[in-house]
Amino acid sequence: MSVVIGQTRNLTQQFVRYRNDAKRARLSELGEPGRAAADDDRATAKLLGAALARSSEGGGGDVELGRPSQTIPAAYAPRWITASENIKSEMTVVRERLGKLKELHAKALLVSFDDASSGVGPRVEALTHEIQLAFRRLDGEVRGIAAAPPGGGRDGDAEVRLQVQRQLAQALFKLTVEFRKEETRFLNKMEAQKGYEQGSSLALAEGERGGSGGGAGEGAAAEPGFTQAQVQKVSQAEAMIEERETEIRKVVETITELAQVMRDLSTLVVEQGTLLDRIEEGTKELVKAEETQRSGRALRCIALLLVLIVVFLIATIVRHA
Amino acid sequence: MAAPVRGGNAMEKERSAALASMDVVKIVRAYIAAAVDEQAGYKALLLDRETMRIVSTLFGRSELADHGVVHIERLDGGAAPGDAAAAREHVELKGVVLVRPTRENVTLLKRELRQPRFQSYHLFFTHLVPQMYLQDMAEADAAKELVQGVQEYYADFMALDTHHFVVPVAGAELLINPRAIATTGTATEYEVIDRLVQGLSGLFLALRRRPVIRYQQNSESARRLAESLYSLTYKQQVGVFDFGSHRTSPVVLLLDRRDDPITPLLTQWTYQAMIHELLGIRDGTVLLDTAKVPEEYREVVLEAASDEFFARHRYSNYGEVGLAVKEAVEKFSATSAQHRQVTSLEDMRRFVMEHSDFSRAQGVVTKHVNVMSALSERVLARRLMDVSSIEQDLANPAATLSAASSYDTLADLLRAQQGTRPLADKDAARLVMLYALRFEAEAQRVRSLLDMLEGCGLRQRNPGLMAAAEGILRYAGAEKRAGDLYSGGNILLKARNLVKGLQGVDNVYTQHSPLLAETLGALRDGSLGTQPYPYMGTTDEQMAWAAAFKARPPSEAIVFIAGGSTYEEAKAVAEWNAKQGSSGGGGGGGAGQAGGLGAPPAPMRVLLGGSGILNTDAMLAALGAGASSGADLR
Repeated sequence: MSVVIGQTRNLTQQFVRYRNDAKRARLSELGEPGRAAADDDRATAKLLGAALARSSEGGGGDVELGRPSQTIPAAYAPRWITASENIKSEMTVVRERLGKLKELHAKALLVSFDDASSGVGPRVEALTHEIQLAFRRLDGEVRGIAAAPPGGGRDGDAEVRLQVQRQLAQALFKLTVEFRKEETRFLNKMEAQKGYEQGSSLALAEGERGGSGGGAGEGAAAEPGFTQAQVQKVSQAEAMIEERETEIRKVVETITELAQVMRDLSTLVVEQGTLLDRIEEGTKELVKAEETQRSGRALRCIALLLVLIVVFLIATIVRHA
Repeated sequence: MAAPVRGGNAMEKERSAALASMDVVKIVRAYIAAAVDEQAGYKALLLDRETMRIVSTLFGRSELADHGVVHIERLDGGAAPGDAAAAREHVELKGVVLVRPTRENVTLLKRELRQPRFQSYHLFFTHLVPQMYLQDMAEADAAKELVQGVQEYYADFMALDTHHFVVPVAGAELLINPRAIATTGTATEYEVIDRLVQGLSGLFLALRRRPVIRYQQNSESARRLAESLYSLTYKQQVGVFDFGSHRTSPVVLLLDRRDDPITPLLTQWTYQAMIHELLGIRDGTVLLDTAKVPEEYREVVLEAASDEFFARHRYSNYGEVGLAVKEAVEKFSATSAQHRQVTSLEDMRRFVMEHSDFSRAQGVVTKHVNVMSALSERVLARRLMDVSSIEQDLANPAATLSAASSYDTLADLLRAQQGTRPLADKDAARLVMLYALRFEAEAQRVRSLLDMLEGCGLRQRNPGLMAAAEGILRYAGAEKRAGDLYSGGNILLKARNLVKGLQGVDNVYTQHSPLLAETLGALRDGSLGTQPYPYMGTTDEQMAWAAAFKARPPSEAIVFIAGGSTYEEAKAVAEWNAKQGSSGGGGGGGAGQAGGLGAPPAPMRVLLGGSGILNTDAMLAALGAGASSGADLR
């Protein structure tokens, strides 16, 4: 809710008083003096409106009263309204989940000392997955907003739908950015923490590879026969590598997925401080301008990125397979 | 309903801070945001021609969309008023109407309420609504009862900057040249003044203050403006405008552009002023009309709010901006190389993270490179470096000039007009006008320069320009001015100017400081004469105010220039305010030079306004308007 800073003056009561006066005059003109007299200033607007509509239908002739009341029945409400309400509430859910994910991430980073919380991992995974799915679904739904209603619908809606779509796309875009930042932050922290606790996970991975590959390396240099501790360490390392590998793959997947959603959304989001954002321009011209102005630049970059990601994904899988 | 109760302490603090600093941007933004937030859900915003400009300088589509506004239209049908039939129904949207309470708008609203296109209506008027209008609209709404609220939100002016506003008025040229009527159609001077009174009184309400009114005595427009403003705020609507005794004792000073005709005639070298001077800023957008810039990048938006580079450099001079743009390009190409280099997972992650920031930065850099190249093209083509140094000499009171040698310089230039590299007509005319203002007493030399202008064929090519050159003294000769434009009469001022001339001049092209800086100094020192700048009020009031301000100079001043303000003056005010804030002085790092000697008296916050933003083209067009009709300048 916004707070006004300057002076204001509310004329609503005065207006309503004038309106009631006018109404009374109108009713007595329509030959319902009794009703008019009975009507107090605080007569319910709806009843009156209905009465007026009826009386005008009966009497006919009065052009001003000829139209139906403007309160729209639910069935009449455009599809985009319900759709956008759904999207909004879904986004609220995603936002909540994101908050939860942050909590879980924090917990996951605290682990290690306390095996009781080792169940955090899968929960993080499930939640991440859920959020990702939600993003994909929401992206599709936002795209669907601009589509014309099946019944043909009124033409005027098209521009409104476009604006609604943009607003939702913008909000969703912000949310994806937030998610991405959280993911990255978490992974960075996790790596840093592992490096601190167990020595570089990378070094362990390399050591293992060296061991299994040539048989020389670290194994040979060490005492013959593994101590209990060493065995534990190796198995720990193996677990680490596996974990790391899946993590890498997960990151790649997440990023690929997000890049796709982002690419979709970025075609809908209008940057602030650009001509497209100016309110004086008519929406029709804007649609045209948008087509010409949206150069392929950003799209090309992202396409390139997607190709690269696929390449990396393959490389990662091949290398670790 | 309008009373803001919720929000807690921080909001309240911000609110009173905005009021205390007279931050018009925050105040007008708050009005607009509150109007569209009044109801939840999806809304349509209905505006008129002027409120469209008022809103569009502060809000973009996407920001309004965040407030649920998904449709924006002009109540009067906008660019194609005949197209009003195309106005569509949007029963799913709530209508938020933000318009000025004019007869025309009330008529349109009545029609709208009889044939409603929206689910409901909230009406916000930017000024006091006459009872009659309210009654008319109530009658029109009696059948459907769709109006849910009627309020007055006094956003009746455009907030260009925290300290700079404009009252958007059609026909502001009339204030400079009454003959401009030929170009402005039906608008009359009376209507223009009336609109200014509304804008200024709206400002009083927005600021919750009723300042004491001072005006430039020898200006007809300023006097009439002062009279109407006084009678509205001190007589007719005392109840509305009386905010009790204000601790801060504000003053509004109504000036006429003719008090300082020089500032809008000079070539500007600070970024924002220069862009307006050479390219023209129209409600925050600029058209880069040059072959150097590809078609799709020609129209750009320049707003400090969304463009950090512009916010930082709008008051920097041309050279500094050039360097800053170069730096930005270098920094950008460095990050761009890094950005493109995607060889590892880490890079990819970074790429995705940074991509939107990156493309944004790319847009900003491209924009300013294009603006700078358009500027440099103009500077070279019009030989503005040469022109400007002569201008600055003619305009600078501290420069020691002789009428004869300046005449010779100009005469040489005008003779060379037939040669290979002539000056642009308007630049030649400008120089002659500046000479005429500076050496008004040298009537013969002035006449001779005008004859030479005519000899170049100016009257055939551009009668308006010729008329402007001939009319400048009638418009703003010494006897039409009140302030001391060349500081001729005051030895002390002269000495100060000399000091100023000796120390602070690091750039030949930006020596000129507008008269406004002097005027503000005098206002704060209590030395602004009550003869040339009297108070508006009863004799008793005048005496009381004069005495009160003598004892304690105003701590807040609104300076309004009928005819139009300039970005150079906006910059001077920004620097003035920065100095008031940090009375120690070493704050913002601007290039402020005004003031100087002695300990500064109590700070005085300044808000600048005008009936438009002038540049040379606008000034010359106004002065020369109606030239072909053969009538004489008043």
